Amino acid sequence: MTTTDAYQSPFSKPLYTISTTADFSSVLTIAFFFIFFGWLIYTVIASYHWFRYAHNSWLAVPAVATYIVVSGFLIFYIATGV
Amino acid sequence: MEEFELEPGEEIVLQVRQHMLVFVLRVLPLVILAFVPALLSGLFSVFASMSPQTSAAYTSLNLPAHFTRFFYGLWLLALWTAFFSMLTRHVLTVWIITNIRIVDIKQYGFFNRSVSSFLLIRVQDITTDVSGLLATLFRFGKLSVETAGNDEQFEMSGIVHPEFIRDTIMAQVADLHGQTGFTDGV
Repeated sequence: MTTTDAYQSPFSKPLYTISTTADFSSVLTIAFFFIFFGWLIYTVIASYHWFRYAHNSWLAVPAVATYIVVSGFLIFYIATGV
Repeated sequence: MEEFELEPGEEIVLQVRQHMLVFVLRVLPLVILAFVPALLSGLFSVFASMSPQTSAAYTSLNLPAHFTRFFYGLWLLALWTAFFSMLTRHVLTVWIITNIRIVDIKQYGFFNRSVSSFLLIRVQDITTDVSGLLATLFRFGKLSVETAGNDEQFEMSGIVHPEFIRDTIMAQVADLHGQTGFTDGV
């Protein structure tokens, strides 16, 4: 190694490196799971209210079923984007 | 134990909710918001076609198709959830008029619910207020019931056929006072 080369590369390469950038797709996958669990909790809470307080109403079962079907479709649509 | 149980001899005369149009008007912004991403995308593509610079900027902003699906789906899911929350609130907010009392059930949100009832014999004054073009055309408005005692006032806005409900309550009050032999003020 000449004197000039020594000035140009004063440090040796580190043995280990920590990546500070995240893959966007993996971020979306994690976000999707959070969204899914959030939706699941919301659905349980909403269904509880319908069956607890509107149990005598003819609307309770179709309303909850429609909500689950439509949001299930939307979640499937979101999953295709992950 | 149920939050509301009928007493012996008590019968439900009427169940009253807000007018469907009130609900439709409330969810209308959500329907408009559902189309906002598509409108923005169309608007951006129009701007992009105006000059090569804006076109380059638009291309740099463009997300891959599957990312767009992810975010648009998420947007729609949020709106759909908001819609369902509003529907839940609409259905679970109800006035139950029996031959003895009025039960005022208000659902403000999840785990936020109030149930109050007052005896018809305590009703002093019932006021209906129908104001505005839509309210007049579709016959909905505000109904206020004032009770004796603590000057309490029970209100429900956007109620279906307020005049009919007022007359029904007054008929029940008159019946009740007739039964008890109390006729003053009715």
